[in-house]
Amino acid sequence: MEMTLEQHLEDTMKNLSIVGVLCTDSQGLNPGCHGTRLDEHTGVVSILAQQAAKLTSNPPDISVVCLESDNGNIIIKKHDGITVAVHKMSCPVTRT
Amino acid sequence: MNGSCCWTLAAPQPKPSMELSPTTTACLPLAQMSRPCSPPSSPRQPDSQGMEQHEYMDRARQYSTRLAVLSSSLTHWKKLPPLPSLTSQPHQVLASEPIPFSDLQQVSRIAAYAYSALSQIRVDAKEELVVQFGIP
Repeated sequence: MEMTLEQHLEDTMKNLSIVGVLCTDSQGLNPGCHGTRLDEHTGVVSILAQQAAKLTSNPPDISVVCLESDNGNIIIKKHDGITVAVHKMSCPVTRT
Repeated sequence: MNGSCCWTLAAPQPKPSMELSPTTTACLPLAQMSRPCSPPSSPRQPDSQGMEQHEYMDRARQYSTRLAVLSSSLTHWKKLPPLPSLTSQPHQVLASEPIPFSDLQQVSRIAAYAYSALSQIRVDAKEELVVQFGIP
């Protein structure tokens, strides 16, 4: 029954610059992930998005958390009850 | 004087080791007036009247020694774990171009599709959950 979500994550990973994608719910549980080991930090990803949402007083505004590092950027976005974290490299990664 | 709260005008007897000065003798009654009297059984009263200056210094030195011993033994809190660092050159990261808006839009689309995919998850019962029992 999660085939749709799995297919969506696989399609996301077809982008060469994306090396990891993670989905988590409001409780920090992991419905699906691909690529880099983001699944070890599902709780942190969920909490980061929730805390960032508290920084804005305007409800329609949805904040995006960006973690910039030498190994690329991790962009965390919350959409209703689900939080998605995408690990994206600055340069496309060649896959065999 | 009974044990109830009262104000006293009596100054304590000066100690031979204390140097009397006009300000000291003049201010003692006023200082006493600013403090309520304590009952004779108060534990603080014997210390304030029985200790001399060298006893004060000895006690202060003893307390400072104890404090130094305690602070030297508490070393676990000094070894704080280092904060995680995502980069060894933060100025380079800060000076680089910000994350493109196209990336933010891409992540927004991924999150929207993921939410749509998750909302489609439901239990498909292969058999009827409620079975009709036929009693012949």
